[in-house]
Amino acid sequence: MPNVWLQEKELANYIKEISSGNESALRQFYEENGRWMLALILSIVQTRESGEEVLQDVMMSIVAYGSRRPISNAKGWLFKVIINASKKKAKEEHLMQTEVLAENEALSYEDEALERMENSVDQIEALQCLDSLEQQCVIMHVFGQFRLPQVAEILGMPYNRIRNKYTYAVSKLRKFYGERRESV
Amino acid sequence: MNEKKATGMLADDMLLLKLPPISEKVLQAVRKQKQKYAENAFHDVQTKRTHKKVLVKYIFAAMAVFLVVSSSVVAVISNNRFVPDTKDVSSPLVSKSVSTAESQSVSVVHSTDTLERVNLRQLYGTAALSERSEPELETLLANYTKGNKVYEDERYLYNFNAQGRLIEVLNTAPLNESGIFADEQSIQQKSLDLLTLYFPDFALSDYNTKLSENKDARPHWSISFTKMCDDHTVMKIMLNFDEAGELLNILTLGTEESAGNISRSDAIKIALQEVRSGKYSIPAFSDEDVEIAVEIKNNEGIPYYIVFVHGIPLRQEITIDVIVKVNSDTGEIKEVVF
Repeated sequence: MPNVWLQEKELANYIKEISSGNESALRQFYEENGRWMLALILSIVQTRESGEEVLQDVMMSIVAYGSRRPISNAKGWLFKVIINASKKKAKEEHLMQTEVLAENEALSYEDEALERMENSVDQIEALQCLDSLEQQCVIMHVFGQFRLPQVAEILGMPYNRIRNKYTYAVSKLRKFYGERRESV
Repeated sequence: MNEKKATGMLADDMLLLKLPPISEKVLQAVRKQKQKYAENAFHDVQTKRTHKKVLVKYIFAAMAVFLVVSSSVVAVISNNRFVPDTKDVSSPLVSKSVSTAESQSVSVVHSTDTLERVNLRQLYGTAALSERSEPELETLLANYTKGNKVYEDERYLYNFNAQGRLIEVLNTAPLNESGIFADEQSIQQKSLDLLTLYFPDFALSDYNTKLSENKDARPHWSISFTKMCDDHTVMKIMLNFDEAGELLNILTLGTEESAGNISRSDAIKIALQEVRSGKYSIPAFSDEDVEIAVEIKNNEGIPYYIVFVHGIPLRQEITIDVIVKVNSDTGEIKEVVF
């Protein structure tokens, strides 16, 4: 069972320990939180390769945080790092893709969407029924334990939109898991 | 099915996501942080020890003052006449460099104290006399001249001048790109730790700090500590770091010491007299216009002063620097460089 309830104090301790060079704390944190972090990254970037790259960059940021620096909002800081690093990578991917597409024939919208779906959180079927923003809302709310107004603040979007997205995402998840239970 | 149940099932499903192993780059970075953390912790202990050492020095200085005063009183009583005491007993003997500032001797050796502190750390092995050739040392070090003693451990070269004063530290370890970026606060903290370790006397004095960051250059971080030796002369210690906060080198400029028969302040007077003599096309300037730093160097066993006169106003917003070499025994001008 992954560490669903990421606590502020626990995360601050992890950051402090990791940035002071505690390797076992690094491994434990990675094992407990790496999956949802990767899922969040994959909801923004397009390929699994890029996602793994961003995840390592995020880990590097935690290592480099500085054990003597006080941390007041550890969760907010971590999610900002993840989102910013992912968005940066997504931009790079977009630029690279534009260059490649200029030379070759452009992919159709459906092909692009399919490729994105296959490369993203491919092991979690439930997340595949959600769009990118819905995935982010669910992961941040469920795994990051953020209230929806905080999610809206981190993502820089209006609260109403985030609330609607989350409600819609939950109804999709309920439908998905309901159907799966019936088939079993 | 309610919301909690659906999101709980998603949490269970999250285990299906394949997690890549932690990259070697991250593991290396965390190991490096561990080393840095241990080093900083040691510096903290070291700083406390230095403070204790200074306290002991104060106690000894107070005892020395008491002995001098009491012996003077005894002498006055026994001889029934006043014996003028020319020694300045008002300032305690805080450090060797302060005491040597007044002296005319060249024989003071600081390197033992500094090396003791360096070797106490034992982080990079014991510092011993470097076996590198002179040409190599001249190439590597910015301030190497014949007669300097260079010690080396597994990480740094320590350049001591002929007077035994540490004037330069150079990192000789191959620099790896860890991907870690240091911040301003950590650079400041690290600089203060290093200053206390290598230059404890300077660290106890009043100094100004200037930190600059140059993202496109190496060194990435430069921090300089400047203190006024007197009204016009300065002593400067500059520490350079790479983007990861790894110390690249330490450079010093200026000294409070004197060497040979000529005092440091006399050497400054001689140098300024030469610059103002009219032999060179330099307009008149006041002492306040310029910044002066004095170094002592050795030329085949003969010490001489190098007087740096920075910022002589030439024309609008244009200044020049002049370096004057003064023989410390005779006061003779050896060279004037523009």
